[in-house]
Amino acid sequence: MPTTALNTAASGMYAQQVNIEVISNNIANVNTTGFKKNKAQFQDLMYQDVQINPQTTPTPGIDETTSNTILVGTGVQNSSTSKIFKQGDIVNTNNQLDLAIQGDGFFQIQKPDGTYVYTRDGSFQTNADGNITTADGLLLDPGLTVDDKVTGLAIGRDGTVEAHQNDGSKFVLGNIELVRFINPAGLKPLGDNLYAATDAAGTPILGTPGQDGFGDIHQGYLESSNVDIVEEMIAMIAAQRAYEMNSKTVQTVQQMMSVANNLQG
Amino acid sequence: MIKGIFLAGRSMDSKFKSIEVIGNNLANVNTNGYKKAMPFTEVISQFNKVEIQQATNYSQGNLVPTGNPLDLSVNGDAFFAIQGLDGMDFTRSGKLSVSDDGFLINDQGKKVLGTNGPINLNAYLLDKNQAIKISKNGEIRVGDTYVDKLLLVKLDPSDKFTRKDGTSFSSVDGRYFMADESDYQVSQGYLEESNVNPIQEMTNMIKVHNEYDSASKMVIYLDKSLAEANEIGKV
Repeated sequence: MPTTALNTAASGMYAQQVNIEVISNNIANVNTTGFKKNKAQFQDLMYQDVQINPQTTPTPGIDETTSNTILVGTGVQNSSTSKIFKQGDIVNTNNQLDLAIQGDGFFQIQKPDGTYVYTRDGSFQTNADGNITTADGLLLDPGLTVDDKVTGLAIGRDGTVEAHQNDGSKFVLGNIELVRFINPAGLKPLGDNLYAATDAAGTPILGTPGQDGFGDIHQGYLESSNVDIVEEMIAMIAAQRAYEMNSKTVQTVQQMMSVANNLQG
Repeated sequence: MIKGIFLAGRSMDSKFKSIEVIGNNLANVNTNGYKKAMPFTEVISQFNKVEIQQATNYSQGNLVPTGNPLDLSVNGDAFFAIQGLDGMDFTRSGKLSVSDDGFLINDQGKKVLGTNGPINLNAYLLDKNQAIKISKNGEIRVGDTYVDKLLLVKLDPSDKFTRKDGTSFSSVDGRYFMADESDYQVSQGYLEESNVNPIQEMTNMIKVHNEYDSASKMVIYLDKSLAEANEIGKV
């Protein structure tokens, strides 16, 4: 019986440890373009009926029933870590292929195997074939190809890509589209700033930037990480204190057990 | 006098169980929607029966912004209704998502109930203007299309409730009432934090620990007195 409290405290300590891991990952990514911070989510564990035991000899006139139970919880677990899709600060870079999304939406990226992944990291570049790719070389979709006659690109807030040629003429090269999800928190983070669609996130919906609730595209800017270092530091202090509090439960229970052991002096 | 030893022992036992309750509160200091359990009390009822009273503190927890459209919180006196394994469960934890088959579910995978039963969003997911909006009174809209209204219920404090994992409660006799719209506000993009106050729990823990020590001293003194009483008979 007495180990319930110890297990409860241990589950609390473990949960706070995971919390610290999540927070330190946020802090490590404080300068990662397009990074969205994580938050550990917790859930309480099952409750068990505990009998308040009628161990005394019966007291005359007082009826002791055995149905006297209380519910005692058995601790906590990590249910999930969820992404907080708060807008990050938009930082000027003056690079014509740096794109930031102000508002809702993701760039659609095609992997070499044909599947689609999504990102908020708009630090694009051109590869040897003139295709616009992410920093890791994955193709932007719908794809855009720039040939060597093009000297500059002007990308509008609605995603229209206008190419300027060295003879002074310009033409519309294509459109950048954004993807939205009904529940972005359900997206699966893949690392490298990429996300994969899941059933929980909903069906990806393509749309024009600046319309139907999609965000605007800003050329020459990047969206910085939405990690607020002060907030994370405070969360870390709170998690550490919560860890200590659970360790106090362990200490208290241990002292109480030792008192019980020393009753027979 | 022997009776006294048993009473002191019983007191130690119940203090130990109070520590278990406090320890669980401390473990759930970061659990969304958690409502703290008060250490139980033993009372003798008017019918001379020993009764256990265990209360839950339903006070409001802080609302923290998350920015996710399916994170919901209740401000005020109401619970979300979810479809439990046996009957309806109630919870204040509004971390919701959409299941594979389009139902609105909570973080345990249980269906969230609207006024017309489980809420299915399948018909609306392909709508281009598909932002989910949930109004203060719990009406769900996808774009401008009305889908359903979240079932928000109020519990009768005189009923008996059991706690379940996943920060939910269920009513022992299955009773609940529709909450009045003036009693609550649903906030979209917010989650309700645990209402455990760590300082209170720590002071409670110290108090219970000291009471436990006092009871143990009673056992030792009573034991000594009995030993001395046994000495009297010796020549």
